Amino acid sequence: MKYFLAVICVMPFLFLSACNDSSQSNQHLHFVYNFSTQSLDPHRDTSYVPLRAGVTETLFKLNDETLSVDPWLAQSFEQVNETTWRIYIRENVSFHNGKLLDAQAVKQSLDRSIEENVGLRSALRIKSITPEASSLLIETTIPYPELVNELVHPNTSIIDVTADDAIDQKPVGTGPYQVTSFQPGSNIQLERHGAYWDGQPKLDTVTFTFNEDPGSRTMALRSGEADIVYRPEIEMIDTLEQDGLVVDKAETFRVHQLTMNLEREHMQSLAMRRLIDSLINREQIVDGILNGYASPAVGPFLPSFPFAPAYPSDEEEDLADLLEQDGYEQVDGLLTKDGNPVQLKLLTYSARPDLPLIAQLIQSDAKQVGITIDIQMIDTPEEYMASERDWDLATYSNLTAPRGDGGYYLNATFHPDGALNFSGVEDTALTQMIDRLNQTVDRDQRDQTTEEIAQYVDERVINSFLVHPSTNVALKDNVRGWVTEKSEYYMITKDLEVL
Amino acid sequence: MKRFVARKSLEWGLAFLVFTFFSFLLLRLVPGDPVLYLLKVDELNVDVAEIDRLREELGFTAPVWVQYVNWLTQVLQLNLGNSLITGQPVTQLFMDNYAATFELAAGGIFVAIALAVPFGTISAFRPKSVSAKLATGLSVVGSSVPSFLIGLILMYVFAVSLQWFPVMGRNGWDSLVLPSLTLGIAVGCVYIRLIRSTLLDVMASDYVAMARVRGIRSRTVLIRYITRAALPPVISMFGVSVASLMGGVVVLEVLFAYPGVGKLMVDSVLRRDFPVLQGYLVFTTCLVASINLVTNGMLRLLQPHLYRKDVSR
Repeated sequence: MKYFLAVICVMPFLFLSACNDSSQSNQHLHFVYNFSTQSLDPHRDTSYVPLRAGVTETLFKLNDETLSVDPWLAQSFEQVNETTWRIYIRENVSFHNGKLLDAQAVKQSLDRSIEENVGLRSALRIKSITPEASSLLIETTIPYPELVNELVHPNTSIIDVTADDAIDQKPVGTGPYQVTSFQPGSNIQLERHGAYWDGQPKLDTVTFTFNEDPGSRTMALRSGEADIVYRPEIEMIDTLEQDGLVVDKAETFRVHQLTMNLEREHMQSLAMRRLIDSLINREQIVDGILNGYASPAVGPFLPSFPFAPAYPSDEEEDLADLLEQDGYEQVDGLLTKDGNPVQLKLLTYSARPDLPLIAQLIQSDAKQVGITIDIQMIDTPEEYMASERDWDLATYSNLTAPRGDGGYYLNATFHPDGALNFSGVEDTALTQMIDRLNQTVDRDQRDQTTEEIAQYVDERVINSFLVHPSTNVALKDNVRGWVTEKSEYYMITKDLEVL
Repeated sequence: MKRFVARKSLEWGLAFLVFTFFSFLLLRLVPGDPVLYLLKVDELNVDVAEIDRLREELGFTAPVWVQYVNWLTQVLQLNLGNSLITGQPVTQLFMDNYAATFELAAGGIFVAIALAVPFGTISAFRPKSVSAKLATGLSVVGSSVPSFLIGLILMYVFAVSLQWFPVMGRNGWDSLVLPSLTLGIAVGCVYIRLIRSTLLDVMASDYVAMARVRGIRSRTVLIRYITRAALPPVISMFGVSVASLMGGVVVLEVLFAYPGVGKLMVDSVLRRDFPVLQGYLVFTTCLVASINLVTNGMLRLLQPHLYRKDVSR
């Protein structure tokens, strides 16, 4: 009886230790991401989770160091003529289900992405895709030098569209990890893709959890439940570092900007635009509002891009004369024009909590020079700015060169046909320059033209660029191989491991 | 009986048409549509013509009544359509998210009952006891502190410090403990006060005093008179709470990464995913109507005299 009792008492411990042993041999990582998704369909998912979780890959990849585009599932590419591209497909790449990647599979996947995703249909401008033996011939509807850059987009991920599993639950990609289960809006369980083409992934399993609350994410790391947490609570970063956790940060391709409505009387004055731009205290925005997690912006593009101009250092310029030439004068501490005080309407929105604070700072600084700014909160910025034209200024945030090329931002923001041309810019010289960029294929020439356009925009102060916000990641000190990418596209990689 | 069913069906059918039409109208009156989001204008090079073309392709340029008739025709074929954003069937999204909402609601209601019934009863029967004072303190704190704060405190104590339960996720029963406790405390604390005040009212009534004077055993008075009379207001309120929980508890869903229908709705509102929103309104209305039906049934059982036709009012 005694022996029996002893065995009963010892068994749970033996069981626990067995569990412990197995967990040591199993290389597992728990990653907590700050957006959620209901669907893992790589061609529709707006959180780009399949690519970020290392399930899928694209034909081309953005190199975070050089900020140029490298072939990924593509081996190489060549431009046949101004509307035709030949993309050579990498050999010996297999999908998670063992099927080999070939030109036909890539065509089927790209066809589906264009069919499912109206944004891609418009942005890729693909007329036809013809599979060849080991390459793909892509014809575009217009000369389109950015095609290769656009094929970096996560929604162009290559998957086996003929696989049996539901694409929105278990997409079959070529990445280092494959989906074992998916709880919509909660988490994905991943396991190593044993036949991964680019070397053996170091982790056996990964849990990729979604949580949109920064406080909860931070607690998950502090409790030891998570190994890596994307965007922890900024106020807790010092505490995390004191706890021995590692905090990493990187600049992003995003810019917070002050959009100027050039259809409005005051904003048509270059002197007024310069005055507004000169009022912005970028350092204060970085330190006071974003707790140091940003860098001051001088233009739309990060300075590390080859096409970012070397802007002249700020010089004191006498704006008073310029303002006077445009009919402005100071009366009783107020800036007036034709006897009327200057009163501007500034739009902002709460989806990015730092923007309303920036708006208040600008309002306060403008008051110092006699300009009254009325702040209006809006719900859907793009919708409002496009349809209502009764505003002068708007805080806005968007990506400027998310795939290593400035063409998207310049077309969208400064071309008369651009979807984000909320300023209402219709500058013939600027439009011609953008049209010229759209015809330019040579990389160096493109960079040079992009730089010229950015300089032109700066000289005419078409919008004011505030800061480039950073992204921050907190992780345990036993995690190796993590890189905080500027693009924020690649997160779970084959190189990640837990020691 | 046939006439009753026919009359009720007609009433419900008309209510359905009126409700769905006005909700459809209101959703369309809110500025914005999902076109800009679908085209990803904030990161893809899209021109203005494409925006107009897609708007027309999705039928947003048609008159509202035409859009409504199209939607209604689809719904009458038991098809709530597909999400404009993810492309998934609305019913599939509901199946995934309502399951989590039911789990959360069930866990929260269980904790709320476990908290409210004993504490509410003790504070009514033994008003000067330590338990009663504890119950009063708990009900004041629990009903005044926001639920997300309760959640964060529980998370810090039980997940970070003691590491008994996971911080987040929906992986088994242990991940349901902290959200259920949070919800249960927030809901239950309101009921402690309600049960207490209802019991005190009933205990002070003449018929309870008369029953005691007549020498009826205390246990019988408690069960047959006091409890029976105290239940209807609590059940009515409970029906409202259950209906509200079924609509989703978005703050807790986000906090604990427990994806229910509340979070789905917030995302759908922000992205103007009309089929999901419209489906939610239909589904939730039916759910709330069913809960009200059950609540009314329970009240009839407890107070049959109020529903008798010959009762003199």
